[in-house]
Amino acid sequence: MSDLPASNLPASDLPGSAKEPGAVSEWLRRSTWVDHILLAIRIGVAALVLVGLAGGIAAGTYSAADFASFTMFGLTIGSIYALIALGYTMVYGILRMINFAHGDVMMVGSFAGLFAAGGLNDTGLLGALPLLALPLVLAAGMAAGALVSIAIERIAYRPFLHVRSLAPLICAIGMSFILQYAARGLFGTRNRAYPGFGWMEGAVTFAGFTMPIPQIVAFVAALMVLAGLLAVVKLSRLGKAMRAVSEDRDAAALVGIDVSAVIVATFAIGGAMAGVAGVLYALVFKQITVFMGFFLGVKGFAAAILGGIGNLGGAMLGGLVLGVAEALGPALILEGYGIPAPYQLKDVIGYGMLVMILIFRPQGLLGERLAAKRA
Amino acid sequence: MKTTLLAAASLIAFQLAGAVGHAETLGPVTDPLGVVKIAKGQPVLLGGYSSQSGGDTNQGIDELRGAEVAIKDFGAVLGHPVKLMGEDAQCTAEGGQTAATKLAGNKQLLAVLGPSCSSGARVGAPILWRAGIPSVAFGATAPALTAVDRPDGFKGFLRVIPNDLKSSAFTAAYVYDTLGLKTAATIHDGSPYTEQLVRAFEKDFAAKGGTIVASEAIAPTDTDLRPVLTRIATKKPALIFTPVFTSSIGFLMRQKQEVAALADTKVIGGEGVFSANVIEAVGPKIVGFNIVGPSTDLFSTKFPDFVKSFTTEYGEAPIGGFSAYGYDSALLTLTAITKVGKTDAEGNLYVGKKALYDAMMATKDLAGLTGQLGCDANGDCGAATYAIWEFTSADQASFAPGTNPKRIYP
Repeated sequence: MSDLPASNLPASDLPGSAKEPGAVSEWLRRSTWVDHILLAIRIGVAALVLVGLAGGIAAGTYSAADFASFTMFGLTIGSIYALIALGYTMVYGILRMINFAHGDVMMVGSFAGLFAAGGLNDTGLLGALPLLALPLVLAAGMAAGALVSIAIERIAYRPFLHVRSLAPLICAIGMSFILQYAARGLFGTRNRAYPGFGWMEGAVTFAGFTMPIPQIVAFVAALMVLAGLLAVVKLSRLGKAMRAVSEDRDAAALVGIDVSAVIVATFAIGGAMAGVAGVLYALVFKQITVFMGFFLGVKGFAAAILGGIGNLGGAMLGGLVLGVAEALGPALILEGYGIPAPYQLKDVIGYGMLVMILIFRPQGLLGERLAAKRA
Repeated sequence: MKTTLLAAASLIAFQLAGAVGHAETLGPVTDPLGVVKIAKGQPVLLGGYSSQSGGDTNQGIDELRGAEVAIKDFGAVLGHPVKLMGEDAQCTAEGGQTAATKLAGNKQLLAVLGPSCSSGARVGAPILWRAGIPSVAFGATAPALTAVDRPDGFKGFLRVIPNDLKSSAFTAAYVYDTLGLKTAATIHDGSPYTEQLVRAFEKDFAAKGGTIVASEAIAPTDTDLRPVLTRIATKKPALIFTPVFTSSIGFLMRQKQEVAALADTKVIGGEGVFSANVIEAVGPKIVGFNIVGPSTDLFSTKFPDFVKSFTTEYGEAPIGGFSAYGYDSALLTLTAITKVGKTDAEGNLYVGKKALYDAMMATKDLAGLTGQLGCDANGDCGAATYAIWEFTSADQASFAPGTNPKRIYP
């Protein structure tokens, strides 16, 4: 514990190791009371977490296998947060706006997958070609997500493209409600059960740990989709154009990039990601409702901020970190304090961590320092 | 805030007390809380507030429909038709406040039926009673609403649905005495209904000699319950009692299979999931799932006829027992109105508000749909007819209280 303050110092504040003896006094001379308070908060948070961790592990409530399953639960839900976060972060990167209807685009994708699965089931394809059925259902979710996302952009955001105001934000919230209640009118409020694919029921045992197959499928699918997206953004012509528009929209237009087309493509890709998230979510949790988009959207947004909004890898990392923190936090930290019913507080852990990270790293885990330039 | 509330409460008390001094006389009736005059040919107005939007819509719609069937069955009240004015209380305190405020503004209202949820009743009932309007809840079951030490605002609150305390005592007795299980875990979702019910169950179960090994909570929006189930599994309960709602039950029953130690643990849910929707939410694992709920087949013999007229009227069968409580709330109110209403020579009807409230509270041995209704001094009028139900099929279309779920106790 004694070396905590030093290890918590930002690297830039630490003088070179050559002047080691004078390091602390040098820092004291140069720092202000704000630095001292921040340092105190850091030490406090670290101590709180460490005491909780020690207590949680000492309590011995859970076995190693339990912790392994918690981590797996966290990675699964985290990969779904990550897919949603990608949509937020891409749109933010290009338009500097938060598309609050994104969670509901995910819900629409989920329902499209449900109806596709129902259709496949009716034609008997689901039973005949179970391995082919999953990509088809995913494709339905992606198509619906992309279409709805493009429509939202055309109807609600395009008119504000050159307007600097809060109007698009309010429009986004309005679109969220429109999607929710349109879906409610069309599909009803009841909980819908998602069909299972025969081969996905059950679990595999690997190295002594039992993992349900849908979780592994969701996790792997999420990673594959992310890899594909990164390839598009880094390697393709469209990706280059997207990066250019994100860097400077006016300059991009000057060099002949069709900005509107890039924006439409961004919404389409973001919507498709949300559609994938919707289907994978439903595969893992097996039931969907028309109101599920809102809370998952908020989590996805939090993940995007956590990872550094505007950064694709950050969105993925943010999603996974948020998911794992939610799953492990109550067991590891709250358990140590003997708090009754710790799982009620899992969102406190998730969002508490978000606040802490933003206090010390306002740009997020992998974010770039854009704020000054863009604001 | 506290002082404001106190001040408001004392102001109301003062006004109510003041009203006693200034009794109103209209036609042949004198009443300390005021008299409502219904002119010849005009309808007797009843208010209704229930969940018309949000996740509990099915329940709320059924309750008001049940009340409408009762009004139709009852026919004219002292020569006047009856009109029900429905409002949406959602299932929230804000909804209850909005709906009750709107209803309380109508000086012609004699009484209000509802609401569906305890959270709405907690805010709505005092607003109505401040206007001298008694309310008869058909869905609000939280014990605090009719506790002996409840605030004065709840004096005008009655309910035909049984108090949760009866449900928890019944469940604890079933688990401990009939099943012979000695350890249990509970899960609530932070809502007043689930938390108070769970606490009452824990108290009753412990009083019988059982041990509560885990007392957990989730949020209604949680989707991943495996961590909390893993935690419960480490305590090895013989049974899990959890009155949470449909989507949470869906996640819980499905994910329970993934936590090896809980795969065969019995789960008893609450009456909130007494519907066809829970079958779809849970899927195949619904078979063997138990709930404690109103026992529609222990309801009075009039219930089958009611189901028939309900189905003819609305084109679909009622869901579970919700509509029967709606029916009984209207029945109790209308019966009381006929007892105290006075007609003058021109055919105008006069109803004293205090007299109506007294008559409602004096209800004894009234043959309702859910059983014999009788009010105690605190406003609990429900006939406690509980049963343990077990789902027998995962086919949603097979939902029919009696066969799926079928009554297994008593």
